[in-house]
Amino acid sequence: MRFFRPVIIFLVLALCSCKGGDKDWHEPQSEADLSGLSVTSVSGTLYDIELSKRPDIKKVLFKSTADCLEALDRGMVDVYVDDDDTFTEPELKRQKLKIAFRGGMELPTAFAFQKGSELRDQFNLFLDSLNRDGSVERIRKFWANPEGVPFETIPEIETYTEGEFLRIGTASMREPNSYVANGVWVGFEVELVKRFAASLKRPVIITHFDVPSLIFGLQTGNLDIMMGSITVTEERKRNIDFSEPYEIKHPAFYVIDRESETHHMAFFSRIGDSFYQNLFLDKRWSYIIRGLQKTLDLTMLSVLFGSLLGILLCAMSRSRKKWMKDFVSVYALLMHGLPMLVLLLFMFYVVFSGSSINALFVAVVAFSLNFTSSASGIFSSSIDAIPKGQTEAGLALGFTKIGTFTNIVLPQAIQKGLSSFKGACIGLLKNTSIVGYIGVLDLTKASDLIRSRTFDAFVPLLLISVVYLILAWAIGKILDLALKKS
Amino acid sequence: MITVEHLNKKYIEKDGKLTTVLKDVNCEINKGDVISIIGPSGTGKSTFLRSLNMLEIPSGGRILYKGEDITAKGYPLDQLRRKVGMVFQQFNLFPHMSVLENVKFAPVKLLGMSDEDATKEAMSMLRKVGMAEKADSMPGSLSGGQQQRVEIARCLAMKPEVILFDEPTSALDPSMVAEVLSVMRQLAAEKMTMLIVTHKMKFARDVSNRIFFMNQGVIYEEGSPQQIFGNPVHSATKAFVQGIMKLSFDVTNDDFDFFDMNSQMSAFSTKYGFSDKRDKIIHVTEEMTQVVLQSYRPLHIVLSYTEMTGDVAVAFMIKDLHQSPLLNKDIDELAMTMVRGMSREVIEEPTKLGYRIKVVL
Ligand SMILES: Nc1ncnc2c1ncn2[C@@H]1O[C@H](COP(=O)(O)OP(=O)(O)O)[C@@H](O)[C@H]1O
Ligand SMILES: [Mg+2]
Repeated sequence: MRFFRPVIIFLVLALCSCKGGDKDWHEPQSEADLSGLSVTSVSGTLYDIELSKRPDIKKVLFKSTADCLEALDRGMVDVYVDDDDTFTEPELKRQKLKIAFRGGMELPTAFAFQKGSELRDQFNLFLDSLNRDGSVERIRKFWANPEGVPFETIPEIETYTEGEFLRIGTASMREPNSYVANGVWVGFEVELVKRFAASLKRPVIITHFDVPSLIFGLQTGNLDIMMGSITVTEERKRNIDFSEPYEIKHPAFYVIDRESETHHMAFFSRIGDSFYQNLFLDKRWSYIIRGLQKTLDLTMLSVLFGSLLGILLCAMSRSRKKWMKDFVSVYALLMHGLPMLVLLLFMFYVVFSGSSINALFVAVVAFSLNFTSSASGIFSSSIDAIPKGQTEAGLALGFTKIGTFTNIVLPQAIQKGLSSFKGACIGLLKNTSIVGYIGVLDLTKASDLIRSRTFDAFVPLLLISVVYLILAWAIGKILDLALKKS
Repeated sequence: MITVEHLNKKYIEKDGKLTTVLKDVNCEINKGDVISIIGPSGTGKSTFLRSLNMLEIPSGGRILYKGEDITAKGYPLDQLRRKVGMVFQQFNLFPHMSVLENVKFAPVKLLGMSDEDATKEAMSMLRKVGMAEKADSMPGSLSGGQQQRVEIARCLAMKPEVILFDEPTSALDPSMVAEVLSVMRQLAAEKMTMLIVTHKMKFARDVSNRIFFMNQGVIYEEGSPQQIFGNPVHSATKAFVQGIMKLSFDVTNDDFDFFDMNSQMSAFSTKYGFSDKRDKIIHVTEEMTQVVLQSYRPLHIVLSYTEMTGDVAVAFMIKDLHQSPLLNKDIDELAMTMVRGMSREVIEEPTKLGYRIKVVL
């Protein structure tokens, strides 16, 4: 029972988050009606800037659509503004949303490239040729199916495995432009870039990032193309180049649909529906499996390399050479002082900037470097915790210095340091949840992906919480077992 | 078997000062010798002992083990240490191994003995020190005395030619000292070559054939137990073996803090267990200082306690005086009679520095 209590509290909180309607609500019908209301949008978007021009509107910003919707659902805000193609019809229904009105502004959508890149011109030529034979229109129609596109009907596009990767970053995980179905990137934009890559006979790799990271990625040369319903704005044009727009969107002002039937759906059928949406539709559970794989790879490789380097560092800190000791202290200072996320971003955007090295590798490097410092600290203090008398006893019996260390000090130090080491490994596991920032699709990022499609925080978070807890428990067990065997 | 020539050891302290722990140690240790090393603490006994198996690297001089210079660069010290066993004050048993494993570990790893043979051997060593019954216990569950006996068994299992003991009983409860000493007595009877740093004078006298008295970084005096304990050449040796403890004061004028002196004397007598004589000491000192020797300043007062005999004495020393002040006509006879009445003996003697009156209580 005690174990279930947090889960129950979680459920109750989730329940309480459904909001009752308030009486004097007047649905806005035009931009003028927004005066006095609180309006949310995703930070860093065009709407962020546009809303700032209206001091009579209370602006509330969040990092993702899912968060904005959560705020809307909880009644923290009245209106959510975003592109009018943000949701499909069924999604609007499921999210109990409706479009109150559309704005007049025109929002051209295009692909973005590094400033001055030739790739943009090549892409424009390519787009132009597709436009002329009507292919763009045909492809758009295919993906614009409001009921969703059945996976089996998605056309296969020729892919290349040889050659330099075309590195594509997308800001969208949404139908119809770019999203993952059955573990494959699909959608209108995805089809266009895949066809483009095929015309260049280059393989593609697609990664999801938020918009600021994407822009930075283009600028630093980590990415070749940025997409995902990217709106062309004057400000962005200063930093990156856009292709010809392929679509014009309008802003839409979303409000809670108070007459919606789902709004009154029973709790349990909602939970059931939620599990279906989050896990089974489009095999979404497969993200979790793949995310788990990445999280495990990252954790295990970092523990492995970090421990090996940690042994080296520990040996250096115990050497008589002063420069070695100094190196270790400076290294430890650096690793202790730098937030893991900053180190990770530094590695990705600065150290490995422009190289086509895969993000998981960069993450393994960053986490190994960080773990090296904690591991060497743990090794060092465990060895120090063994009384000097043990070494003396070993030497006096006739062991060599090394023999004394390996036969007498080390076995005791391992016993002493094991629980700290376990803690460090579990800490590392938990820390890996930030790798989504550089586009590694780990467990947390997988739940983000699901969330950005279903706008439901509860089920994906609950699921990965359980997975993390099990992993943490398993790490402890595995280390205990490994110790018993040796 | 071991020859020590001009051995010295210096440390550079953190503040850059050079401390000399061993000045010039010379000695010859023969097979079958049981040598007790005694001396005040901090005089380098441990440093000397630990030099013999090169746990301390000497700063100068040579140590020859069976004619080979073990201080030479590149000498295989691990080989040496297999033949020179050591038992520490803080019985350093390996806490993660059972008693039996502790004893057979080194023979298996270093002498290449089979597990079976090593176990047999270890059990016989444990039997020898009376610890066979605890073979499967973990060291942490044993008393200090038991741990120290296991440590001796562990050392014996390597079949050493010499064993060095560094205060093997100092960390033990008084009740456990005897069991360890009796194991060592047995080893001595078996003609094991041993060097023992110890404070147990009676044990040293009984068990050794030679005594080294170490003082100020050298072997200050060396001899048979009879000589060192019965008839030492140097006064420092005598003071040490008799266990003379001293507390001294200088009365220069009448502003002297007599209350402070009284309380120090009182604490001293409690510390060494003769507080029954405390009142007498204070009374005698008062009469002598303030009445009998009232006009003699400066006056040097020494309260001494001899551990071996249990004698307590207060000595009064007047500098540069060559004849007894008691012969003086002005002396307060009544007070002096009182002092004599309270004491066992009053010894008057001229010394190099002046005249001394020693009141033995
Ligand atoms: N590593 C060291 N650095 C500086 N001084 C030391 C060191 N080891 C021992 N000494 C000094 O050497 C002196 C003798 O020590 P030790 O051999 O242990 O004396 P004993 O065993 O006779 O009490 C002590 O005064 C001690 O402070
Ligand atoms: Mg000592």
